[in-house]
Amino acid sequence: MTEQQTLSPATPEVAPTVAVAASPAVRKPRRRPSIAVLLSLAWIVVVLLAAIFASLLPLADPNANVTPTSIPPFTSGAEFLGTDQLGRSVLSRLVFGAQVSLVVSVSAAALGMVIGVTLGMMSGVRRAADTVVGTATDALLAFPGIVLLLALGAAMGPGVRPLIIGLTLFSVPAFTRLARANTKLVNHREYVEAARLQGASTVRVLLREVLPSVIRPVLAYFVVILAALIVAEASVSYLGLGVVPPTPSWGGMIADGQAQLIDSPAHVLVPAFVLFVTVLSIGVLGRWLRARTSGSRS
Amino acid sequence: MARFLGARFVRAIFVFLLVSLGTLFLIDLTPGDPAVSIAGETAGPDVLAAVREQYGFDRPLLVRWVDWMGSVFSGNFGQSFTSRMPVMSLLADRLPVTVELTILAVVITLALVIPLALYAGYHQGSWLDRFVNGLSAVLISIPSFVLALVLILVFALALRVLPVSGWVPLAEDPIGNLRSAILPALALALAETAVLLPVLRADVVATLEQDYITLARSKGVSSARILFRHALRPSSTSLVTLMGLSLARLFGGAVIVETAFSLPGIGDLLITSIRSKDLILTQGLVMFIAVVYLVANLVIDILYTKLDPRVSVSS
Repeated sequence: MTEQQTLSPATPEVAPTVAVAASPAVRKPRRRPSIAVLLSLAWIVVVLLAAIFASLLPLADPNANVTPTSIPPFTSGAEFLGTDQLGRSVLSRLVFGAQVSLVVSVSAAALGMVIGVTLGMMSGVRRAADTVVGTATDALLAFPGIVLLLALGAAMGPGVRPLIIGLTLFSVPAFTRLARANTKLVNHREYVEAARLQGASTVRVLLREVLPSVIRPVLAYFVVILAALIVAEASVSYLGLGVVPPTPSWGGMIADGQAQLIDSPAHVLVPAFVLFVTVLSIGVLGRWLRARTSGSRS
Repeated sequence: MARFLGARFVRAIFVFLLVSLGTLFLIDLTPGDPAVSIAGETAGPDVLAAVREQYGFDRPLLVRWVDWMGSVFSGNFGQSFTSRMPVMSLLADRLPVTVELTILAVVITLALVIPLALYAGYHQGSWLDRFVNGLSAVLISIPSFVLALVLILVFALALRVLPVSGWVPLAEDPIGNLRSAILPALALALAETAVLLPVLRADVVATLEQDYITLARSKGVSSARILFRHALRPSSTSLVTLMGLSLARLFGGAVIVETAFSLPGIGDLLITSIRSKDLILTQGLVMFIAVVYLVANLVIDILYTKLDPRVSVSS
């Protein structure tokens, strides 16, 4: 199946979501989640809880200099992840960085989903809308995701708002195509035609009859997109053009650490590892959800 | 086929119109007076007046749009405000690095993807198949800049076999050039491999179930010949389509990887233009990247019809 690549949620190959139903692996009735899925879920829950309750946790101020110089990880009990070159707590910056990263990517993915599903369903039933939306989608996809983000940041100045707008634009095409493909799939099924023959308006047919079958693959895909958005946010922040320092962000921490890659690689590796495990976990969960939704569709 | 390509071409033109409108709008998105954002806060009133005159902010949007498209078509992407150089010549200086990086990355990607996917698809469920599957799931979760830093750490700092950063031009020293290009290209290629490998593998599995493969096998054709001569071409339609999107990703990835390795490519130029608030340069570069992407995808559509003649009939 086409797994989404990190920096471009563009997916012309939406067919797998629909086609997977035929593969024998998912035809088994409700397999119990594997160890990998459970571990991923546990990690995501920890990250989510840490991000939500960041200010209640016994953490140092992410911008305070708690030690005079940088200390390596696993040497001190209180700051077991060490402190960075300015003596700021790495643990605290990771937690508050998760907060920023999640707020930005979750809100962008949600916005992108609402806009994308609306446009996709419209173009699934109306030829004219299909042409307009399709052309606009192609135009958006002509900008590599990261370039789109950078260009918006360049014009609007760095910060959270252009990030959210950019990431939303970045996620809309994928949701649009997925919603369009699934709308087309059910649009001429008997129950939809029945509703139409009973005189239901197009909007009503779309909301009551089509949306329920469109929303399941879309929600599973939401998770996949989320991983791509977290990576995109980290990448722009790594380039110093996303989240504005001193606000902590994972990408920013990696960029800060790169200056001393030789002396203390931990400053790069610790945030990089957290970013990697988070994206991997979301990916594992997303694939599991997609297999489940497509398996129980038919 | 002519009709199919004609429709594609018309669509590409509309997409180009939208893309050019989008990049033109980039300047209007800036908060405050666009003339101030181009010339900088310190510019005097006469400079601002000159900038307004030059870019015609007082003229209607439609007129500016037609002008901008005209200049893009004639290869004139404007003039950098900080260096006073045409965007095109700045770009031409940096282009070879990014192009070389992209080509090298595509070559490495295909060299990894084709044999691995054919083998994994042929020996479904074998340990190599499962390993390759797991590896792409892991690789896909590593952002390219993290991959770049890990490669630097391993090959340049720990093993000390390759340079940490910097660029040796091809004309100066071909070996040194390859040594400076291989790590960044590998960082790009590994990320790309993770995307394309599962796609080709799935298509190979589907192709191998076809009757003509069974026929070839019963005739005693060797496995290698079946895979490379009979299965590869019909399996590669998704791969070719996705290669078009790859290009966008590689360009995007190049921006980051060039920064991580401090290579003087287009990505580095883009970042520099944004840091120095050189909006005209940013706009020109973004437009250039989008045009390259559009042209490449048009070429891929043509290739696609060659690869699978059914495409032009069914559409």
